[in-house]
Amino acid sequence: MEDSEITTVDAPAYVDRTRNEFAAEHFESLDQQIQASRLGMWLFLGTEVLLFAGLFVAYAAYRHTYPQTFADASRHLDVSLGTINTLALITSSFLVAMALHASRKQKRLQTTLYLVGTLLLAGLFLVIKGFEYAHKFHEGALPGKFYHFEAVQGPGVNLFFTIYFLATGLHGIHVLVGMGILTWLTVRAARGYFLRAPDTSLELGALYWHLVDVIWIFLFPLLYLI
Amino acid sequence: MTTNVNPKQKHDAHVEHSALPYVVAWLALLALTGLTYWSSRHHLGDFGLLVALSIATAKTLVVILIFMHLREHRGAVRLAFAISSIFVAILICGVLADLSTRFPLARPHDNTTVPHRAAERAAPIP
Repeated sequence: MEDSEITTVDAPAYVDRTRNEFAAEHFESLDQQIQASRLGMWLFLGTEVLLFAGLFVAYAAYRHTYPQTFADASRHLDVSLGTINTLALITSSFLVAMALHASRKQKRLQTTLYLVGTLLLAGLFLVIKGFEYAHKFHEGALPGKFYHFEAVQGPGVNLFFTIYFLATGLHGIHVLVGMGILTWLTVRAARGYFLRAPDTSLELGALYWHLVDVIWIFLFPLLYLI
Repeated sequence: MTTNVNPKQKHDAHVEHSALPYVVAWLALLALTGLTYWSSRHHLGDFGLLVALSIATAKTLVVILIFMHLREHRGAVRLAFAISSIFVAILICGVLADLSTRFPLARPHDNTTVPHRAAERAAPIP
């Protein structure tokens, strides 16, 4: 193979003219393949936004119809727990961005540690969410016809908690899926997978995690801070 | 040979700056979270929702442009997300426009004063 002769010793193995040999058959070049996978991920994220849009529309409609009840019910949520969760998700988003950055600099240990940090914060988010849910179940602030919480009453109050549980529940499922992806990426990073071949799995997994963060950025003020 | 590769994007997988933008973005996000919390505790009335949504949009832009690298990308990648955001805005504005322009009908379910309906009512049922 002629190309291997011009490979420099200190550069990563794939950063040279043989790069395109990593491309799948149906792509002309590796750059084209990377762009295709990235565009596919962004299109998927677009559909995710539209999935959550349904819940945001329901929220807008019912908050418009029952403004006072929504404000009363919102004040009953624990703002300090919501704020801690917001900070946890924002920081985890930062850590996964740093993980991708470290992986592009070929730093295996740093990449792994950043991903582990991301996972820990994601776990913290779910644990706090679990405590919030348990509290709501205990006092009867439940969706729809199961609502029997005496302290907050008024027309449409159960609708607030229906939307609260649906929106945070769907978001929580996304956190779980994201943690699964992050675990897989952490194992890959620890094994040095990202050093050997150009790969988009970490970039695309990070994009998914950032979207989970973005959804929460909107859910937090709309639910907790009316 | 024809190619679908955008020449401006060629080799952008290698372009890697320092970690400083990520740190700045993170600090900005923490500050904006504090600002959201602060503004919600000072009852701003009707402006409260506007302020909260503006801050959330600003935070989203920070995440998308810096953490998700959209400022380095061009073309279809940017378009995909922008279009879905526009459709969400249309959906929410449409629903709110409907709800806020509804009014109670003056005489619902009462046909007696409508002349042609009165004629219908007078006609014998076959």
